[in-house]
Amino acid sequence: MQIHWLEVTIAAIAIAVVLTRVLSKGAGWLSWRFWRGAMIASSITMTTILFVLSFFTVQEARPGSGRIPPWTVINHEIGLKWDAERQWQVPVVGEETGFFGQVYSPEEAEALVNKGKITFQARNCMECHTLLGNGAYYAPDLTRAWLDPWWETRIKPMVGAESREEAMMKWLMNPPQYPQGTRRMPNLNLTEEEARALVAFLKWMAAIDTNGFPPHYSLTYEQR
Amino acid sequence: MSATTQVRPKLYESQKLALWYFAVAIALFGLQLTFGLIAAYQQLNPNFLFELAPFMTNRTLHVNTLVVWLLVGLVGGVYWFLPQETGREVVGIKAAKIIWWVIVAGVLVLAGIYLFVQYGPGEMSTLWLYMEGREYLEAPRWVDLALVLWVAIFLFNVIATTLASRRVTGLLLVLIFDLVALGALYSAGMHYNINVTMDQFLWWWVVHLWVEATWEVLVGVLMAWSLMYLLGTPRKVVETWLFLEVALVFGTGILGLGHHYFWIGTPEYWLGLGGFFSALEPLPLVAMVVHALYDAGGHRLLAVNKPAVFWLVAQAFGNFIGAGVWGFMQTLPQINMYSHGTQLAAAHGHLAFFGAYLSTVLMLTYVVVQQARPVLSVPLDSRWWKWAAGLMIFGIVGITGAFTISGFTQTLIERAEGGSTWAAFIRAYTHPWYANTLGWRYFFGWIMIIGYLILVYDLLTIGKHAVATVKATAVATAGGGDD
Amino acid sequence: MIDTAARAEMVRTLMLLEFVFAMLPGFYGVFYILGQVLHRRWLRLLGYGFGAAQVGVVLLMIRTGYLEPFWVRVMLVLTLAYVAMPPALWALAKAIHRENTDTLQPS
Ligand code: HEM
Ligand code: HEM
Ligand SMILES: [Fe+2]
Repeated sequence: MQIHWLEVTIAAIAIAVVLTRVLSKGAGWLSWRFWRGAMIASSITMTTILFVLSFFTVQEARPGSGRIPPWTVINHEIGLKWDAERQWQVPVVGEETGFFGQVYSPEEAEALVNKGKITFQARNCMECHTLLGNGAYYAPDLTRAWLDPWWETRIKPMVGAESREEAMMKWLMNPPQYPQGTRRMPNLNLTEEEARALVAFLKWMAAIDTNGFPPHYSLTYEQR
Repeated sequence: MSATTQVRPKLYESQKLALWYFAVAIALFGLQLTFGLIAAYQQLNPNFLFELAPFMTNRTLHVNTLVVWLLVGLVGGVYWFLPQETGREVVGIKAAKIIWWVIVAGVLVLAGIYLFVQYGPGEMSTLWLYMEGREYLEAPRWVDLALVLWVAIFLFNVIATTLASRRVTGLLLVLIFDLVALGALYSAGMHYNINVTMDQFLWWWVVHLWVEATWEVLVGVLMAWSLMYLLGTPRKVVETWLFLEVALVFGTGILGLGHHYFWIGTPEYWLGLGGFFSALEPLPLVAMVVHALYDAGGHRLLAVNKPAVFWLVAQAFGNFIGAGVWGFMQTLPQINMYSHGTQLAAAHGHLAFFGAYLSTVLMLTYVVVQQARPVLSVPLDSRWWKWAAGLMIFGIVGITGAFTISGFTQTLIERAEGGSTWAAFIRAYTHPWYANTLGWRYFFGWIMIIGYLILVYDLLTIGKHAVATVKATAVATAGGGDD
Repeated sequence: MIDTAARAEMVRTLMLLEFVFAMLPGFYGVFYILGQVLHRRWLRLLGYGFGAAQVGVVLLMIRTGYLEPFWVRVMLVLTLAYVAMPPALWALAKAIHRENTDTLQPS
């Protein structure tokens, strides 16, 4: 469903005002009763609208719904391209190249991303990093980490890896050994299974349509 | 000084419980500052405690103790005023006492887990036992359940006491509905979600709808009581104005939630909705300033409790500047696209929490401290509270200033110019305009700590002379009687 | 896509202007209300000064041309709200106090 914010805004304000008039009928506008009516009207109106909008948002926030990629996106090449109409970058999904040399079925892919997401929480990554821009500001944003050119140009030779996923996995399993910048990431004792799952989670997240955040991310589709 | 003394009216049981709430809150405040200072030092010297307690551990403790001590202070404030408002002892006070000590024990265990266990294997059991790993809501599920029980008993106390008093005032009505919403919102944060977009969507229901809606209203209620009891503003005025504030807070803050839905994978209509409604969020905060100053000014600050009135006025301004101005600064999508997730958010977070909630809890603490001794000192005053307040405000302004400058730098270097990559991030934090602010922030952290220590000393001693005066008078009278 | 330097320039300009735009109504409100409470005309006038400055900043922001027409209108609506709010809320507070003092307490 197409929702326009301006209509919603005007409707919200109009409903709140009308409801206030109804609830406070006969009360002078400086009176206790009038403002009690205004309070009830505005709380009910805004809460209801939030619930309705949340219902629609949830529909659009399902994996595979367009904005959120399906789990199997981890099997594909991923990139960003400039969308001239929306004036920001959007993710594009390319051909199937496999992940760690393997093509995951939808169930396997979901299980892997799930494991990665749980590991992300269990290791408290969010208290140093941001993801989708939320979290702590000690370490880089991870929204598009999968697309960071740094893996190819710097980490891959450093850890001696063949592919990007292998480079990420090896680095994540022992970051203090390969320090970047002056701030180091601690060794979180990830198992190989956990590290692999984390990379899957990060790759899946990199294909979410975030309305262009982070802006003008380095690795555009054309540039590669 | 024309201080007089009065014998304290008898305290209700729930007010005695409130004393414990405030003692624990102030102690946790000390822990919060300590871990903040360590986290700040680790940015200067990344090798400090790198193996034992890395940045994430100290930061987790910093933000979690923050949320817990503020919530404890606010709930303590309700336990303090509730018997005054209803004219009777709180119903179910036994349960309230038991759950309180359960919560204190739980918080201690949790702090131990954060500090010594730190994280767990990538399995669901970790989320239940040690670490949920979502900023502000790191607490594992068993703690969530304990908190829900706590809020449930608290709600029962408030509702049952209100019903027993047979007089539902406007203030109590707002309080009850707000507490129901506050508790219900917390449950939105208690689900595991594999989809990170939905995860953050619901995470903000707790974080934003707590601090920008339900906590703000809870503070409105506590401020209303304080205006009534400290400054003698008539109930009808206080209640009418509270209704207006709630209408504005919920009218702007609920859909203002959209300012967190710009970039997490949610649809584009949130850009307009969030931008517009959150840009209006400072309006209720202006209303709060108007009200606090109107009544404080009307009485020319000649109140019974000087530090409390000071913090009441500081709260009004601090809330407006920290939440309103520093929030507004980054709330329009054009700017937020670049500044989102930079140190600018931390600048706003510090000033907003300080202005809105820390000031409220300190105000309440002074209200309570005045009555903590058997003999009241009127007006409550001392030399030290001014030093404590001055140093803490100086400290937070310095910390906020430092974060603001590093935030600007990060936004420009990492986001606008650098394309937000890892390399751009490193370029930003090594830029002199960012790197130098880390030292200032650490310095102002120490100022805060000194202010805190003076605050603790002041809370332990303020008003004591009144007790001494009364004793001396008693001795003198007794001696005179002997002659 | 505009080039990096131009983009940096845009973000710097807009962010600084919006920072000032957020601060000014803050000062306006604070000084205006202080002026009313303490009965000091110069404080109130200072407040109005900040209010006027806020309008100036919005015009500047529009003149940079970085805002799309639609957002220009949104900014104007917001400015109007912030210019009107301190005196309006002050008058309301006064009226509500007058209306609700020395009357019977509700229920
Ligand atoms: C007392 C009230 C408030 C408190 C305690 C508060 C606190 C916070 C905190 C701690 C964050 C950072 C969240 C994170 O860690 O990711 C935040 C973010 C934010 N706040 Fe507030 N806030 C308050 C009111 C406001 C108001 C009134 C506005 C708008 C005018 C606002 C606008 C924002 C925005 C736009 C962000 C997102 C920053 C980003 O994109 O990274 N806040 N707030
Ligand atoms: C000794 C004083 C303090 C110091 C040195 C300090 C330092 C810090 C540091 C280094 C961070 C992490 C920022 C990052 O992720 O890069 C932080 C986060 C935070 N601190 Fe403090 N802090 C202090 C006091 C306070 C106070 C008094 C409050 C609240 C009243 C507070 C509230 C917060 C909040 C809400 C965050 C999370 C911000 C966000 O995610 O946006 N801090 N602090
Ligand atoms: Fe918010």
